[in-house]
Amino acid sequence: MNMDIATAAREDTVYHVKRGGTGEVLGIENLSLWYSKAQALYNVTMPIEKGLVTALIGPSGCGKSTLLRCINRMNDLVDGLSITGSIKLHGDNIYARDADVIALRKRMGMVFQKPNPFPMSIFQNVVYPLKVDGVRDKTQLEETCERALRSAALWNEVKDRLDQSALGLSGGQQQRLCIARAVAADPEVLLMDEPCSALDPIATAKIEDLISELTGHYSIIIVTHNMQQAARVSDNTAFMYLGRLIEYGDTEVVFQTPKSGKTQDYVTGRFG
Amino acid sequence: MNQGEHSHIVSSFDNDLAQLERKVLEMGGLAEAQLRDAMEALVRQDAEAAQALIGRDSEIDECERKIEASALSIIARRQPMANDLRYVFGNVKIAGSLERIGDYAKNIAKRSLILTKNRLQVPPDMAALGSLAQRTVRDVMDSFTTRDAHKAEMVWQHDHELDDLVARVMRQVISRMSQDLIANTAKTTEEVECSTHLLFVTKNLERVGDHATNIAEVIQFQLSGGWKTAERPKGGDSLQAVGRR
Repeated sequence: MNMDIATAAREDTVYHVKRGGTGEVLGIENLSLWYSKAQALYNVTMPIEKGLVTALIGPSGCGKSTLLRCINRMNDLVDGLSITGSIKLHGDNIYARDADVIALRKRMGMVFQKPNPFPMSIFQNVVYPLKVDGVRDKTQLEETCERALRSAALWNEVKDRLDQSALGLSGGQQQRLCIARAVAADPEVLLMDEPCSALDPIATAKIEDLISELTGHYSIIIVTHNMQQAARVSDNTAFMYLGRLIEYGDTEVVFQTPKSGKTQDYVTGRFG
Repeated sequence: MNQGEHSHIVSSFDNDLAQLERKVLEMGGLAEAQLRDAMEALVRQDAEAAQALIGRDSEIDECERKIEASALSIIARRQPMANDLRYVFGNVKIAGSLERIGDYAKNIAKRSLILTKNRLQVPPDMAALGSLAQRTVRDVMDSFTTRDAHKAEMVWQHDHELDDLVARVMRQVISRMSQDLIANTAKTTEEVECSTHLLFVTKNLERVGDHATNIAEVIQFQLSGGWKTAERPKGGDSLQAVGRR
């Protein structure tokens, strides 16, 4: 990589990151990504604060989902993909040659746009990550199930029907179940890719409330097309455009007094 | 009118903001006119003009309510962000200041009715003070129209000139009261009352200047996103003017 270009690109990003006080959970450094010959990310450098909520916003195709998928190496199977730069999880380079991808993904929970409960009972869904790890102790599984469902604000609604199929839950409940399943593995980072886009406003409000509840315990990275949602739930916001990180920092600044003209145009609805 | 270089994707949002701006400009024009008429009524001792403008104050109040309603509607329907949000919020604050300026004009008119009845001459510099206050309001509303942060800054920087003139007019009023006292001229209570009204008129014009500088600060916030933190240059102190013998 031409370092001069990398440095120049990094300098173009406007930073005013709000610190959480407990350090960084993830360090994204000079990350560039190509789908075959098409470059999708340009020298993204972005520290993610531990225990805070970080929102990724930007128009379709800006690279925010690509970036999110790089963080747990979900892009690995894409043909013709090449990546330069690094992503460090608590100092461990996740793209190191000897990195264990399975172990890595256990340290990161992921919640998708559409709820994806497994076709099994509510209980089995939540404890699935533990079972994969070989945990068979009934008490431990039950305790984890309750803790995760309480964290996901779903316990009271499902505690009497844990044996019933997860597919019988409403969309909003299914999404909270997916969050419970992610939380059950006690991840260091929770990645959310437009977690509310398939939900109605009330279910959305419950998820947003849940995100606030989880702040501090988990480091959450959320991709959202809903700018009001980013403004409501996040501590830091990253605005991406055409594969570049344009502005990254304190959410209040991004939505009230953005430093970049491009950010201002986007958050005020002047282009998209 | 656009707040940035580009139009909104939703063009009706631009229309909403343009309508809000028109309402603020209309209100600014009314406040300027009320202040001008109040000072003319005072200096020319025109009771009829004073009465007429007192009746028009409700128009300014109505403007403020319309601006607040528009701003609330934009916030509820458009969820403005960044400079749009600052613009909408700032306009509500500007309307609040313009409403106060209108109230001061009305108050000057009410006092001018009493002064006119008693045929009391206003101090020599009162007309100049009135003109300066009017010009300050006009300049700050011009800077609003043209989104001229520098011009707003000038209004803010020059408020001390108005303060100086306020102090001078107060001294003129107090000096006349004192001379009458020393000369032991028989004064009626009406004359003492009238001089007191003149002091209040002067104070009202000082407050008009303060509201104009508040508007200047809001305009700078709308444009830059930052509030002024520096102390404003201070001019003549009306407290000292009163204390001086």
